[in-house]
Amino acid sequence: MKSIGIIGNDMAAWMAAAFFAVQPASHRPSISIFTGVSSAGDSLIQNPMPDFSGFLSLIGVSDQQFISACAATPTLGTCYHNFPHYEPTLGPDNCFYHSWGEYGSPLGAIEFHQLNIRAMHESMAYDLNDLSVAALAAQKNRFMPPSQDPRSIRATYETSYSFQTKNYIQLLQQICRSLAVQEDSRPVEKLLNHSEGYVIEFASGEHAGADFLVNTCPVLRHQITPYNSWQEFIPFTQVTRKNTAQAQQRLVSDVGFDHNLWRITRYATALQETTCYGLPDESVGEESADLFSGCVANPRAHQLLHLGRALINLHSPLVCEVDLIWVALRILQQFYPACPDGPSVVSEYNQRLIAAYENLRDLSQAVFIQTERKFPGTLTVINHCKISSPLQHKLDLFAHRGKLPAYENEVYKRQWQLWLLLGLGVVPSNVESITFHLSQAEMRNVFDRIKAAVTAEVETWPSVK
Amino acid sequence: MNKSTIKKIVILGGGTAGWMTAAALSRFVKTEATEIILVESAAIGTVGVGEATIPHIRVFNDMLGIDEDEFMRSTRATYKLGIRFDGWGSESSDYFHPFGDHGFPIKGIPFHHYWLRARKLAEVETFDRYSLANVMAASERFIYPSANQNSVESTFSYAYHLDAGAYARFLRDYSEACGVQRIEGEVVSVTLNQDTGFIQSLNLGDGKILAGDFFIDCSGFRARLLGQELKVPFTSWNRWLPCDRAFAMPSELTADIRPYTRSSAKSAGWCWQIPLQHRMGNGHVFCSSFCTDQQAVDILLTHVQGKPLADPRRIDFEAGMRYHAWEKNCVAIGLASGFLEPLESTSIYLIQVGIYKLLELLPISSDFELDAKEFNRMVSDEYEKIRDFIILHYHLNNRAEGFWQQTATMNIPDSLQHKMEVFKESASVVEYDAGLFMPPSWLAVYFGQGLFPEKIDSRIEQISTHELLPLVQKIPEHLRHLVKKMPSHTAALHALSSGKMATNSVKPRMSLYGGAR
Repeated sequence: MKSIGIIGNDMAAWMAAAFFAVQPASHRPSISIFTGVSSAGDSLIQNPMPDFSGFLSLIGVSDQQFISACAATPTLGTCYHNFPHYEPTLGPDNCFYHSWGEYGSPLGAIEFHQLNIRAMHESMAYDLNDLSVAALAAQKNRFMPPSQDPRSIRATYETSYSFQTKNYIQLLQQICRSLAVQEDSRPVEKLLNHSEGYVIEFASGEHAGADFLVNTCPVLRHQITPYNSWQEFIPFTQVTRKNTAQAQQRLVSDVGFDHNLWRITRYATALQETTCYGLPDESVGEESADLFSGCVANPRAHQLLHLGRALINLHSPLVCEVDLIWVALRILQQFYPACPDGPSVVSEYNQRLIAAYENLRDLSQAVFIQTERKFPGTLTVINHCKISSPLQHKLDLFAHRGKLPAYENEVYKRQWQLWLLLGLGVVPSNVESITFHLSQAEMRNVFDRIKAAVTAEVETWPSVK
Repeated sequence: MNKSTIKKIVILGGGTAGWMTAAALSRFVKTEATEIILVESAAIGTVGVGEATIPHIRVFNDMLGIDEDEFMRSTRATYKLGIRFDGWGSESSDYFHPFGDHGFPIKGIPFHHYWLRARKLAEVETFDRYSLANVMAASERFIYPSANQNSVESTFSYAYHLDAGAYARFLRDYSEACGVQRIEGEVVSVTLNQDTGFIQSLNLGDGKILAGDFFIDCSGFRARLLGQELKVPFTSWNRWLPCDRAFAMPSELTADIRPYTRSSAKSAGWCWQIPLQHRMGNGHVFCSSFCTDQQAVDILLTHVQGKPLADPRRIDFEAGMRYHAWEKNCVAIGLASGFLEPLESTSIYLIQVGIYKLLELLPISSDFELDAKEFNRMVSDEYEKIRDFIILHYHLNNRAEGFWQQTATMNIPDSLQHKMEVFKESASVVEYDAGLFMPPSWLAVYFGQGLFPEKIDSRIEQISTHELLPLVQKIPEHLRHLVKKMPSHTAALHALSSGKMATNSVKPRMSLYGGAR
């Protein structure tokens, strides 16, 4: 492969350029980024899952470099405001802090979440936030990086970063420029599918091609591949997005729900951004399918990959745009493009990527479903939505006995999933018999000890400031 | 709130599957309120040949708190580092499938891409020389893997060859000590609940009626409960796996004990050699459409090296699985749920999978439907993935015999076809999150049986020769140098029997490979 072309000027485009530019090769293919397109408008703030560190590592950026270049702040997860009619001013009480980590600790063969289910059945109410160092730390706005020592209580969680997209793009641009990525700012008009491959047509009438093209521009994708809207699963579209000066420093993003609306507030240094999602005002036509969550039918074709907003739009409290881009690039790392690409490789790539995205879609829908179940009337629209059979089975099995089926291509860890569902108020009907090996007094003792250990640990942590 | 609704579990069958299940249940489920009964009949034999295993058995034993040395002495076990396949692919081919990795990823790209490129440029050693487990096996050496994950000595795992009958007896003692009740008797009829179709009781030949809440069918090929009573159909895979018969026979040991299983392709099947401490287990698996019983026995006798210790015993089988392994209040574990020939030593592993899933999903309410659905989904998935891997061994060949011509040209499952196509196009191995065989296994068979991809990772094509070749060429010599210092497998076994073998301190993992995975 001699040349790679990337169309776009947003985060996805620069991530793709950096991804290709750092690949091992003595004689690297020429990499060009065609920036003469209108940007799809990234969210101003990103707060990806901990897996994002894999991308930083791939492009050779250390944590310190990243923090300093992007003014990144640490994050521990998401705060779900456990009441309807969320107002950001209401403060942190009565919230579930969903951390990327463990709650409690297993007792031999007894999984802690099963013990927690039994405690719920026996009305031994423990606040989950008190059983996880990361959740309590997020609530108290205290922070310590995780420990490498697996025996430490600080090894029970993972962290990530919150940062402004523009800072991150600047960092990626610096990396790309240092690695001789060519920039071409001629206005791009079209992406053409010629018999010999895909070709970029500029407004000037000139053409350019490459052995492999990455398109991050939704407008250009329209002419080439259909988009599968997920409106019937997740009926929300973005209603407003508001950016303000940072009112408070948070280690989590805040998510709340209110009458067929939900909103997420993300925080970065000096800035916070609240995006509100709701139902569209009136029935929208097919031409507006892009407003809804959805994914292109064929992300990768021979010599072409759609990425970023050209690939997927997922309105989710669980992931942000940078997560979705990294999922696609991580699979590309394994099924790296060749010249020419083989049809089975392309098919395998698409199958895996779409399965990973559908799993995230389903889990996002599960958040909405559970919110409506807990607070009927909050998101009534979700009651009329279609549910995929894997999600239905997952919800049924979890409600039955607090277990999650293992599916292929899940990027959201199962441990995170089960605490998410419990934190959002799912009370499974049954509990594993093995939990009854403990008496009620012994169980209470276990919870008290964990709570005390978590509290004592977090007390020693410095404030995030 | 609920406590267990299952008060009485009845296991039918006392072979390896039955006693493994009883042992696990007695460890994790047995309480004063839960009774576990195993019914077996001395009149009904077990398949019970010498058994080769994969490393997961160590996790099972560890879970039960079994001491490894005691286990090895009781089952006359030897260590196993992989399987040597000779004659597969072509009459002259000879390769190892190791319990370990080959090489190591460089800059995020799997090693085999570097090896493929080097192979195009210069003379390099065969792929199996890049795995420490293989080099150890070929040199008949053995040490325990290192706990230090930065060490090359952590890149392999190990399993055992054992006497399956002795293992079942060992687990019987364990289970009975943990409160499992054993009943000798033969089931002559089964009573089903007329409304629900659930099994109510097993009726024994001596008139005893054995009622239970939940039944586990470990009755082997007969599938006495799941098949005969609950009428769950059997899905045959014989169009892909046509071998349907085996002769098994033990023989005396003649040489040093090898730390690997040997699988030698023959004209219409293959022969196994499984070394135990006191004898060699031998067998010949074949397709009866291409080979008569007499021919099969002759081939076996030619293959056996030591003096035979018994007459060849015939075993009939059909590859496939029950449509559901869990139906109503009955779960089948082991051969009663399905059969895949022992080419990759997966029989005990599949028993383990059934037990683990059952422990996870043992009913906790009167409604079993969701538990059964999840159990069946996971068990089918495991079987199908292993099935594809075994079919691959038969399909990838250029041998001239009719049997091999047929397996080389047969239509294979779409799932396997897709995996092979992806590999041919890109040298990438299709991976999965759940399932047994990972890229090192697939690569061992692909390369060992002559499937080389049309293309490799395009990034490697752009690495210069003077960077690439030294990197690839030095590894086998380094591994041989390491292995020279290791004790022989026979010496390790002597140390074990004399109590001088240092205890393995590395916790076993649910992985076929080393600590890195």
